[in-house]
Amino acid sequence: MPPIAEKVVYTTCVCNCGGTSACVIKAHVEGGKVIRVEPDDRYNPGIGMEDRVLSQGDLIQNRLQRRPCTMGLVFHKYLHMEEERILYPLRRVPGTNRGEGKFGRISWDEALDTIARRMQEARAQFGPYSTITPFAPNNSLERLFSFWGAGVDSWGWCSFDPQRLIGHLMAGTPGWNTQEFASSSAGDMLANSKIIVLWGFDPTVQHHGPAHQFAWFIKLAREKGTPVILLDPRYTGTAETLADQWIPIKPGTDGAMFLAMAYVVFQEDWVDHDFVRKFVEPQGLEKWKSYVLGREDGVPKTPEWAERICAVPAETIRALTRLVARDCRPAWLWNHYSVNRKAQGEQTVKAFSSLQAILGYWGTPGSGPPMNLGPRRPFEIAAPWGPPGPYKVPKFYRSHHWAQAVLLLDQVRNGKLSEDQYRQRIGWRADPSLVQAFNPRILFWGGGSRPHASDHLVTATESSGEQVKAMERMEFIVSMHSRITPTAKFADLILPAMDWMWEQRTLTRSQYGGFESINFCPGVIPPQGEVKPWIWVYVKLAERLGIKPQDYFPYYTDDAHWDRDYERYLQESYQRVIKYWKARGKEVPPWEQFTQGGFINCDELEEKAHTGCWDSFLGGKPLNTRSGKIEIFSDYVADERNRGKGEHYDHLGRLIDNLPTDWTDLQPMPVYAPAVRGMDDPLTKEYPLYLLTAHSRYRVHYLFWNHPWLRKDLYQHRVWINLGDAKARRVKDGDWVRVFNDRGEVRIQAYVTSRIMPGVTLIRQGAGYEPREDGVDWGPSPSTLLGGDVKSCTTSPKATNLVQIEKVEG
Amino acid sequence: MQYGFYFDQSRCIGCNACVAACKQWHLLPPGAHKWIRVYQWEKGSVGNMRLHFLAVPCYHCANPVCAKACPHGAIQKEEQFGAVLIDPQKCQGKKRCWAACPYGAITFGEEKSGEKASKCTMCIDRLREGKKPICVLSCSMRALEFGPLDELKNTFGGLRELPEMPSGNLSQPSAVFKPSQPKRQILPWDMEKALRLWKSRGPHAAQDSPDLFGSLEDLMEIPANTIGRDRLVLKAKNKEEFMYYTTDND
Repeated sequence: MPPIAEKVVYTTCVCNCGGTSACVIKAHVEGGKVIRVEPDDRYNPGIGMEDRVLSQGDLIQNRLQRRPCTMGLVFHKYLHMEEERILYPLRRVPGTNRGEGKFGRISWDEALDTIARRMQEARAQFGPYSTITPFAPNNSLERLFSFWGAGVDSWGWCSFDPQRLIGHLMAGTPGWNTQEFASSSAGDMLANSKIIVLWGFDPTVQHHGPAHQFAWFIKLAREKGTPVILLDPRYTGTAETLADQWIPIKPGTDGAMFLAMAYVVFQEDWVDHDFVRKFVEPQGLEKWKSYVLGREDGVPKTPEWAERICAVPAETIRALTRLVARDCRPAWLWNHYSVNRKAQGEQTVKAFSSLQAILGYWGTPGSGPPMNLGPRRPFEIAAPWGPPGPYKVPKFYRSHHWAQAVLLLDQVRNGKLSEDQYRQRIGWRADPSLVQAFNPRILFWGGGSRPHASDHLVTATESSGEQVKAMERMEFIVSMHSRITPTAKFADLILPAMDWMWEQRTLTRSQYGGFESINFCPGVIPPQGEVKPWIWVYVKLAERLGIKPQDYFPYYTDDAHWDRDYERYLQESYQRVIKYWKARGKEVPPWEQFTQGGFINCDELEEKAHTGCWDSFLGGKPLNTRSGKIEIFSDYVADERNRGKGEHYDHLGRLIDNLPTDWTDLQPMPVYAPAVRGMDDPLTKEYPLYLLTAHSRYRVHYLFWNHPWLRKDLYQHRVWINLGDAKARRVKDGDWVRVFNDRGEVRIQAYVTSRIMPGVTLIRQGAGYEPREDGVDWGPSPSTLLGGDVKSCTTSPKATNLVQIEKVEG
Repeated sequence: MQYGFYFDQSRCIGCNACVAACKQWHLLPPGAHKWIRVYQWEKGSVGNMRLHFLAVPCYHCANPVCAKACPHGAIQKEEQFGAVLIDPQKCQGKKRCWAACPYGAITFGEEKSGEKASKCTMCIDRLREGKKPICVLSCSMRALEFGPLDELKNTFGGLRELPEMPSGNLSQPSAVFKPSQPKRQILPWDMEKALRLWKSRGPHAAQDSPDLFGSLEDLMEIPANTIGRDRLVLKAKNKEEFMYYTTDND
């Protein structure tokens, strides 16, 4: 018999999947180790098929178990895989190369002293712009920089940057606030939608809400007769289990389909005139209508125009438009992040959101979110830290382009690249005159809020080769992480981060997927080795950089009282949550109860399904755009005098976070333009296959890659190739193939299937990085094949790529 | 009383959460000790694709053919829940139970002779504490249920097998099923036209851009062994094949 656990505690899975912080795990702990786990049982204990005992109201209010996914159920096995864990400050063994992964233990004092000394030296020798942080923006480090008076951060995230920009331009919601503006929870979809239409959405692999609960809600809707249609170049689990009908669409062309749908809406007059009159800015709408109907360029964006681009027949587009506009109102339409994480992604998301606007589907019950999936109520759970320091940390590059920002500087210095071109290439978003002063020498990476979340540089952002080259240019690399990863191996000094989910006490909030809750991680096991919380690390660095630690983290008193201080910070954070709900007449559990297995189910506290839109414009409050309405046409972007300003601010003086100094080919209104390296790019002559890099169900970027209970046990990391493409290359299932383009080459086994359309291929992102001497990655991570599309201004370019596949003989 | 499982194929997404939950709860090592397995296999081709999922624990049959096949009396049917349990003390590792079971429910971790058989215990440890099997409680699609078999039959109907599964006439598995949901054509979609459109690179492509495929036959005709998981293989020939049929590419 297995050992009996000495304690059983509830905790929340925090691993930066799409459902982050939504799943609840009952951990059985014995001897300081998590030996087994059970799924959440705080609702409907002992019930397998919960919907059998639930009313529709229960589903809308999410009175459901927060069951973890496959990863969450075996996370604890990974926690105790000690060969990957970083337990002590480490320094690269002198004489070994970066990437070899040979490290020796040092003390915290030595580690922190070294980092502070190197930062100060670099600042003295190379100026204030010499310590930089790569992907992604690191708010904690940025705060440290602001008091220190030097350092460079980046802007932009991979998750839904096109939405973050378009949300600001169209609806006046800056940055992450776009999330608050998200509308229509899954419960609302289930209760009110008459049809569900999904573009590129696969919640059977991705995690939205607890595990695959979003998929379950779509299936429940289908079971009660709501038609479900999926457009995707792959026949996914969503195509099989959730959808009544699957319609293949060429990747990267969804924007053309949205424009054609808008054409039908205008031409057959399915416009929701009442909604448009109240909420859509009329002059911009007219300009866009004129473009869609072809009055300007002589090209009406008809379904016949679109079918040649996206391969969805014109009759299908017309019929779909009539269904969602007339016969099945309200329609739950969702174009997933994947669709917009491609070249021209801003145009795609704007075309979609504009289509929803003319159909009257912004935030109205049953209509699907215009920008972001899942509501996030407008309150913060972190207690304030006080204002940042006087130094305004510049954002010199889009975070994906940190490596190019480093490497291309040479060409600027020797005159091969103009400063204008340089700024365009890297997404510069700061005072344009600072290019000459930029002198990157120290790379400080990781250690934000989720230190085990991922390993973005060589395995999850584009062009592993360039990432490595740029790291080689650095004089000193610091990495803070809980695990040795392919990127951490390139560090000179590694700081051991406390595991956010298992070791640290944390207040946490589920964000995506329409199931909002506030959860707690109690610190399930004692911190291992000498791991430290990231806040502590920055406090100690602050001291060494001559900053008063209380300026950085106002709850800090001294080291002896760290636990008490940190607890006070958590409690004050929680008080804000209590206050938010109290103002709405709702009681939530007191701190003691909350920290002992309690939680807040936000959906349960409100009478109806949450949509952020009701809190804003639908309730009569104007939007924070210049017109107070939804703006399909952006006057700011149309005004060429604005291009080239270091930073861009809206009419209320708020920074437009995702708009770089030069927005290159971003248009003021949604138009269609062929994508660089898209399905119809001239480069298809050499590299005829479009590479998708969708997430895996069984890992989060690099996290869990080496998990023995996941890879090889439950899944195989292979390249998907269509049957016809495989036959043409004499490739059979399981054959080893080389996948290559002008950026790199990987070696991987083939998964031959009819589940992906011809000309399209898929390697799931994350994975390992194991370059051999010839540079071929046997890890392999698709990052090796990815590269920046310099034309698109904000979209993560990594999702637009072409490759060739050849069988490896022998 | 006989307890059993209900599996709703129309809800399964093949996510393997049941497998992960089982392995960690029962402290099973990585590899072929899968007391519940998830199979995934595809049928058809572009335009009429189907993907099938099947989660298979031990069905704790009313007539356990595995027990009958064991010369050492190592497999017994337990009274309280009707669980079919292996006594590792008595098992000699002859694998006759494996040969007898139509579902491949008996697992061996390595291909060593004399290795003891192991399989799903119906989570009898949990049942005795009043808890349901861990797989059932871990399914985020709520595709699994567990209870007295008669109750399951009353609630979910008496379907005893799914397409491509072996007949349960002899062993009488303690399980009922719901098959996958039929597709509905909501929108007109002319497959030949759609594929003709797909074949072309599109209006913005260079003149001499290669087509996306040659002919419809290229997409429809499936030579042997080109596609791997094109059928349900409950009883794999060896460990490598077993791992192949019980993994996916997601």
